[in-house]
Amino acid sequence: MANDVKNSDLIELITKTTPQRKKSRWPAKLDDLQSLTGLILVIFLMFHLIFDSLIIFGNDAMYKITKLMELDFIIEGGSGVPVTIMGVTVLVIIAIHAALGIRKMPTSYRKYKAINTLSKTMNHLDSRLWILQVITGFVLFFTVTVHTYMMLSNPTDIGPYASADRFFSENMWIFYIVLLVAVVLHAFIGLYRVSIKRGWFGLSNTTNSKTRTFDKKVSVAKRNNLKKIRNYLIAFYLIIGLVSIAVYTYKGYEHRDNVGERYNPSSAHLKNI
Amino acid sequence: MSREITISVFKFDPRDKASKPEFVDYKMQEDPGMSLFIALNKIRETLDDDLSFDFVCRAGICGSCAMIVNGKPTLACKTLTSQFKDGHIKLMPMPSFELIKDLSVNTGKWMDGMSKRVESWIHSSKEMDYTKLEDKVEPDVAQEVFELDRCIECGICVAGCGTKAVNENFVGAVGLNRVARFQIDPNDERTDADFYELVGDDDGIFGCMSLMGCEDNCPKDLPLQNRIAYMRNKLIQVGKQK
Repeated sequence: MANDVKNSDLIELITKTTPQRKKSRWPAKLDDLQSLTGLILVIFLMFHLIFDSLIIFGNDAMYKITKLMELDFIIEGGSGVPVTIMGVTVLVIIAIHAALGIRKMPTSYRKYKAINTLSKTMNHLDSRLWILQVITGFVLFFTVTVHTYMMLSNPTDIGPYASADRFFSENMWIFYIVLLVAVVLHAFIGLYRVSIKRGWFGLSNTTNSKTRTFDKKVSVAKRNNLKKIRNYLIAFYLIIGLVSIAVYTYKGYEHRDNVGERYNPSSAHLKNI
Repeated sequence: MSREITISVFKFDPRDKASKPEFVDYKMQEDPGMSLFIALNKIRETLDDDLSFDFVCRAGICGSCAMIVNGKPTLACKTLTSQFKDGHIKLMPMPSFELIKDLSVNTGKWMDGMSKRVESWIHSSKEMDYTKLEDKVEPDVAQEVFELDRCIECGICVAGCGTKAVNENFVGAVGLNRVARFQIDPNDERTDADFYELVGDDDGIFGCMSLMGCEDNCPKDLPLQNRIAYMRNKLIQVGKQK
């Protein structure tokens, strides 16, 4: 019923302004929120992938971090609840970030054709990387949602054997390769872009200290540094991620006859980690 | 010995119903120090008197000759044919602007609309008294204003903008640069909240996706990324107010 709708909303529908004839503050809030949620997710991902990769150093290292996430230092034997809470929180942040990201996607043939042709003809890497971000963002709609749901619904199925079984016996290694490549590219290209957008990492000051005016060389140098950091981060996380997937899959292959069994290290052994 | 170069030019007259958009190749001998301005004039004088293109100053000041040269938006008068080692040069009019004919686009109409949209003039309640000296402005601030005033409105930042490609109503870096110019000018009494009313939406500052096609192609090396980020942060703060 129309009566349920606030007058201010009805006024905005007609005039595209608030009753005070001002522009809505929402676009500013949404822009800020998109940057903020993206940043939180990148930081989360950086820790997440590092923790995952501990499998490279052996089952015990991965087991220890798993139990730490399950708060075994507070709860006897650990609990899946903290992992579920973390999963739900991350999923909510992802949903907000994705909803905000959709606003920027080219949503018609004409728009997609225009950005694609323009970035190709200019051979402009930053523009082309944005298209890659759209594509990886689209892939993540499906993959990251499935992954996060799997984790929050079965929080105790994380561990050296349980994870390895998932990679090999449940054939998830292909899924994880797609997810890893998409999320690493999306995250670090996104971090680079938001730094430009908000003038982070020194990009807000590109003044030549001698002439006290803007210096293109300073700007280019700072952006090149940022590009290098972006590329190093992508390379580092892709390498540790792919090696981790290989290790998990191999361990899953070795453990194929005992699917369902959980890893149980000896306490004496753990002390040596 | 001079080499033969091929200049492939987009030709189309939207007002002529019989005209079909196409690329026409013109071959010619390259002269020493030949700019695209000279090459295009040579084509018009010797090969095709129907070819349309815009030039005024021939010195990178007026911005009239902006076009897409081998994929990149740039000023044709500042571009030498010798820059292209394989001798093939492809010329296109800038997208995003109304096509007049061939390489000629109506940037003036677009810039006029942009100027009105961002109210590109000093807003002051003071009565101007021309018999008195103007109020003093700190040299550093004046320098900053002059720096942004170097924009020649060539339209290259608009043509190279990925955001503009997907959002027809985007105000463009030239518009945001203009807002930043008045924001730092102490003669202008507008507040950040006033500027928010002009560009505080997804067609304005929050639409910019930071693809950097503007700064990377700007022939005047303007600090576009830096100033857009500056305005964005200012207007995000306005968004936090009621």
